[in-house]
Amino acid sequence: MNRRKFLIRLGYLLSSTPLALSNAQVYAAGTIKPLNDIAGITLSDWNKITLVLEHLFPSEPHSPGAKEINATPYLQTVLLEHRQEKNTHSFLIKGLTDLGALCQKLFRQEFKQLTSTQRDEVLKQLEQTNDGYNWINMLLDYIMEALLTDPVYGGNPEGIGWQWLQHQPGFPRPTTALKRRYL
Amino acid sequence: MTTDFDICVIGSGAGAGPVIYTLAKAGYSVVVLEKGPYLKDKDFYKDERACCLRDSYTPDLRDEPHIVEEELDDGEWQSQSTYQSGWNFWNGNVVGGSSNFMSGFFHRLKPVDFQLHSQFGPIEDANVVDWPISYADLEPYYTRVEHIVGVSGRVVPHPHAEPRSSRDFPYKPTAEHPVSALIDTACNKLGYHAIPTPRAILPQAALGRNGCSYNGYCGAYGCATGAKGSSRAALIEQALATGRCEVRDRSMVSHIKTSHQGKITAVEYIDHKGQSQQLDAKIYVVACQAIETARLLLNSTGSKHENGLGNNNGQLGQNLLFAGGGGGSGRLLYSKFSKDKSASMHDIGTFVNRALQDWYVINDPDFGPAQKGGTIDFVHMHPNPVVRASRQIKTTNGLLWGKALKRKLENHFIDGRYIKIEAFCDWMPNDHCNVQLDKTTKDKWGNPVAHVKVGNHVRNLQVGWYLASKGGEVLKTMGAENVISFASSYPPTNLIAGGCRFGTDPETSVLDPDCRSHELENLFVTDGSFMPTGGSVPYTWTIYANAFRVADKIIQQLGGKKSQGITTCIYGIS
Repeated sequence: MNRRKFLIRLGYLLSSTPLALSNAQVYAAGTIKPLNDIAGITLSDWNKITLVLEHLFPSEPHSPGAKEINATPYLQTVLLEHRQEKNTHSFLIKGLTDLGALCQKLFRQEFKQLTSTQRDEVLKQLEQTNDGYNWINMLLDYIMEALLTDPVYGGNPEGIGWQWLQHQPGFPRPTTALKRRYL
Repeated sequence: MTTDFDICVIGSGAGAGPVIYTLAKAGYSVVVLEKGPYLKDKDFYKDERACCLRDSYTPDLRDEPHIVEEELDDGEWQSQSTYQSGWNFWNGNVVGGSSNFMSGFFHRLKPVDFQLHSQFGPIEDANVVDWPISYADLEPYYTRVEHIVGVSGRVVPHPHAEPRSSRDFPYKPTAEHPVSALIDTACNKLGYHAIPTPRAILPQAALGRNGCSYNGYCGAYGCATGAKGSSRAALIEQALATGRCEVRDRSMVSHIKTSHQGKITAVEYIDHKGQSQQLDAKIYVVACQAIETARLLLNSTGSKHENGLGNNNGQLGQNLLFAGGGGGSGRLLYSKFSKDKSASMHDIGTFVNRALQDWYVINDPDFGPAQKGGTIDFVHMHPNPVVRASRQIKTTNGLLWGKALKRKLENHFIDGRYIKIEAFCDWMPNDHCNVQLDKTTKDKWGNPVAHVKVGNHVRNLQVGWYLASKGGEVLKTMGAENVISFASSYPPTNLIAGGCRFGTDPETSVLDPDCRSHELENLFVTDGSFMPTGGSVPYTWTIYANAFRVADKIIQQLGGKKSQGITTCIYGIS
């Protein structure tokens, strides 16, 4: 099964708000799993991650944001990669937990309840810690991947990122996503 | 004595290909053991994630790390696994090795490179020696590479031009980007002599391979047309056509066995199914790239070789080389050009192909006595978009995100054309740059991994600064903005040589002048390990040329050609 078919099965390519599909089910390896556990992370946490991604890389009329480049589904596929580092999962969740605690400390609210300015303030403060800096840096790196890697990997749909930045891809382009190393 | 094969070649990159090609053409049976898979032209795509973000062509560092020991600012030495640091020292473990992924900037060494010690004298804390052969010994083989691997270029008069036995290159230069003319103009203005950079890339179909597709993704990518002169496309596939060559890919050699008399009896390897196998041959050729060659030989102990194969003098793994130098960049704003010119400047497929070697020997009183300098290559900034975009995130004031990041991306990608300079100088061999076996870390098969100490000599930085600043001067004269230039003490992990230096004295070298082990008459090393000093250019052309030279020595040792497979038609130089 190629990457695109896999994503269609997940429902990601059928909706611009993929995480709203709370009742959808994932069919993988012949089993049925509730969608609220993708790559070992709950739907609730994925919704929080999505809000952070969309703040870090906002949509604009003339340029795609995290939403248009499929940043969340892309990050989910990254976590499903062959032999993905297990601590990426835990680091992702730890950063989310730290962010939530900082939101409560500064504003006594959740990240989703904050204004854009307040969200920026929280992220700036989180950035001051080593873990916080690395967490935001990691999310930004994956956003750049979702923006500019070949669409076979699930981000950059129809080359939307390339078009925005007037980037010409090389050829031949990959026809399927390479899911693991050759060695 | 009956053996499974005449020749067993371990590794398949630039140091292996010429031996495989030449011996198979000469009628000998050749087996190639390569730890990576056999990928062909059709398997290579312009896929940044596969090539450059996930290291798909090199081993998983969890399974096969290196331990790298480097000097910190306070003078202490620190060892760290590449799995922890992410600093990957592997290079293209596939059939054809890292030559599949090279950019193919092909410069010859010059006569002075063979005589650094006698020309310039000793350098404190550096183990500089002359080579046991001269440029004249290697020149015919540089020419042979031009014809068989395929080197395109154009010879122009130059103050530091090396002698050639042929008037010009057999293949015309690859198509050039408009920026090449801007470099020529700037250099003329400055009184410098820009030269066309020879490339191991065929501009049109030849040698049974297709020509370049000019799509802008060359270095770090496998070539989908066969235009790039990789060991696989140019040599191994020709050897396979003889019917006398067998490539066993996904075969990791773990040990070279020796008898109680000290003779090689077989090589042991792990095959693609994970099964332990062994085979024997009359001649064994090791070409695994410098670090892994030293590691394999160090791991191949026996009763007569307690310190590793051919290492009774303790020289194996010493005097490892990288490439010294520096770099820089500048940007040409599209808005400074006319509409038509701006459109042509947007082209991504054609090459810059310009270099400066005016300071290959530096005769500048302000810089001190005459000394060895180097080469400056001008290149496009690599087009990989994710790598470029990710560099925009980190600033001196912290991380950038939101609309500010988006504006910076637009500025970087849309407003201009970046030109880079790459300065190459000799990496001074020294006592703190070497390969040993790590005492604690083993790979997934249980063999000690390489412990690589990467000591850098201050001369590298001095010459690197000198060259990079000259390159920066050219960029400024071209009208580039934001010009930076710098020297670097970091070892570039794609430019590695040394560790088995060749020489006439068995006490101070690992190999004899024919790249044969001083201790074992049927063991040759033909990758870049043989080099006692590295010269001031990328290594690949010299590795190819020397491997062709050693291939002829092996044929001599075996009693000459078995067949008329090699003819003057193939090697004939017009």
